[in-house]
Amino acid sequence: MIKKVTMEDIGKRLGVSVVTVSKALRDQKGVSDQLKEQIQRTAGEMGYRRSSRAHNMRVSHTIGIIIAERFLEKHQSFYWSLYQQLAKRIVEKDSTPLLEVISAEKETDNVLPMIIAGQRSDGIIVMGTFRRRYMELLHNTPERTMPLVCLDSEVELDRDDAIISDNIGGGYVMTNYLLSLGHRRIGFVGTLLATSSIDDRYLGYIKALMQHGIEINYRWIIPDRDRASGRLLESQEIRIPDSKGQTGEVAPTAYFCNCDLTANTLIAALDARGLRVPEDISVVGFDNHLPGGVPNEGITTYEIDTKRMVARAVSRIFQKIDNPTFSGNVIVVGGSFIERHSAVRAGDPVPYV
Amino acid sequence: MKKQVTMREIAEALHTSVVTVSNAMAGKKGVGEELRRQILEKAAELGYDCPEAEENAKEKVITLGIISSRRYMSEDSSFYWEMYQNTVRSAARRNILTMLEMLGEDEEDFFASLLASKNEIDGFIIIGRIEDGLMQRILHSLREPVVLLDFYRPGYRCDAVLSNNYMGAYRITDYLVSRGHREIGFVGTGRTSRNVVERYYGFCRCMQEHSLPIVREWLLEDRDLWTETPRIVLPERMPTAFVCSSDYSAGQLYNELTKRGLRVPEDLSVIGYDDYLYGNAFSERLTSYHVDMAAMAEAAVRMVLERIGAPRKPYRTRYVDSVIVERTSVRSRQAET
Repeated sequence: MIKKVTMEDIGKRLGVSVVTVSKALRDQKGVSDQLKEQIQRTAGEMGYRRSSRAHNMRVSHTIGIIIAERFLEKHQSFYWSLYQQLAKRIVEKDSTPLLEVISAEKETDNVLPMIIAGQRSDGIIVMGTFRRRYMELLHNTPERTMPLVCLDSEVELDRDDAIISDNIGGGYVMTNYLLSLGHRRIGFVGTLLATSSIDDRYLGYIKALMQHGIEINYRWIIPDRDRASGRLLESQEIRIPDSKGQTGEVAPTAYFCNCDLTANTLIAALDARGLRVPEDISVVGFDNHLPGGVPNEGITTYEIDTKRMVARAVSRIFQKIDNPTFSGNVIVVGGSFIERHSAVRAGDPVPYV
Repeated sequence: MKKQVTMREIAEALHTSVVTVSNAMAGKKGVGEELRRQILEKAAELGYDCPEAEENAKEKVITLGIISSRRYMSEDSSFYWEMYQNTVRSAARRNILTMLEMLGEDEEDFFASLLASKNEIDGFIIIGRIEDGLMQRILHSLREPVVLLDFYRPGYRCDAVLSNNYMGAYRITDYLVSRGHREIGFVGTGRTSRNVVERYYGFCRCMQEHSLPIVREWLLEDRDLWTETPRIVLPERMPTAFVCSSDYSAGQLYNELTKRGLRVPEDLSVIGYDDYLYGNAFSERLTSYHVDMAAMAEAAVRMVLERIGAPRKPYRTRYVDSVIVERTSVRSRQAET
């Protein structure tokens, strides 16, 4: 086998550093035109096999990724998984991800990310939602010299260039599914105003109920976490509505949970009361994701197409880097319904109004 | 053991006072720039363990490059992805930026990207094993400090953080012995990983101390040596327990035992190493030596910062110790013996 010619070999031949060779082959600044040409010629003569990167002569970018500390808990969370896909995609695009984790303290004190303050990247992708005031800072600060794209953050602040998941659409699909199975009494599990994705999934639920002429029963909107801290409730803390004979109050026959993890907790809470899923009660979730690698085998759910969100976010940031005046719009990425075994038919489909 | 260098020695070497040395190290005023430089250099030269070096390094924005194989970084969950997560968390707590460099199939691609971005990076942490030739190349071309995480080869000019393989394996073997096991096998293929070799030595040491025989037919490879595919061939006559060099090989062993109709721990006891078994139901029952990823990642970040602050200190390898997590895969034989 012929030994592969490396950048070191070229550097040695010309008496220059590897960094200089790398820069010259990539047509970057910091090397005189004359030397650049000499290096490129020598590389050709020596039969240097340019990597796809050097071959395309594509300029490599540093992409800053900004995320709140609270989203990067232990084990593989939704955002860790999203970040992993994002980092991989950026590397595939011959660029390098630079991560900055924003502490709760910095967010509260409105401290500018170091990446922005120090102009350390060519573009920025903001992952997940921050407080409104912090989002405004990221958008409006005159210190920001690089373009910004928001991935899965709150939509109304992102006047341009945001990639969001279709949570309303997903909530609508899941609730419609339960209605089509003949469930009329459907509860929602999720703390309102805790995250914008819960709120949006709730709105999808409301929309589906509305279109089927069903009144909202607010006693069936069940919190699943502490609003301030985000701490998820344990199964014994979940408040499940009871049927009360004397008042004529009846309990839901089905629940739409704002995420699979909460669906899991609810199933445990129901189980503790001797209620079996799906025989006695139907339960559906959202995300198609359970943390810590717990496989989601039984829960019927809705999976947001994160791969597409990531691909869109990355191509959008590159567009904006190439053309600073480029301004796109909000891209809403849907997902797919995944039917498993946690919900069953209760009667004829509930008709639309 | 080498004597600890004191501030007094540094002061004496430079004909100045201890207070001045202390002030210089703490970055306080009252010390001229030139003298401060001399003091810090002398401290590094003498190998003074300078906790303030980390403090000083903290003041400016630091960016760490984190290098790992793309294979590890793109699996939804892997041991090294979790190690990476821990490293990011440790860095974030100190307000440090991290740049992820994935090492893919194309070495040239990797180098192109590494060299293109390296000017902004203050130090590197490399997670997991990298093939020797490439490792030499990386160490040769990077001027910034490098700390290896969970991997090391003697002779590399860099710092490293490792799980305390030798001690850990010693402990899990001792755990089996203390529960009445005398016939103990070992599962693991040492050829590919120094970690496994060290764990094997820990096992041997413990067996020897208890005057127990190391039986050749009970030393099992956990993969086919030609194809590198996972494969365990069970011996004809079985020991009463196996020490596994990783939870992964414990999982493989468990699958093989199950195929043969053998139950764990009723028929055979199994102990693992890592406390990280992914996607195998056996993980809920496997007693294992816990690799403290959080502590290892924390040590690596601290080490690279210290190194940035004191580039000329001798290279160090830190072994991070941990504990056995007891589950139900080991049966106590004391009643019978």
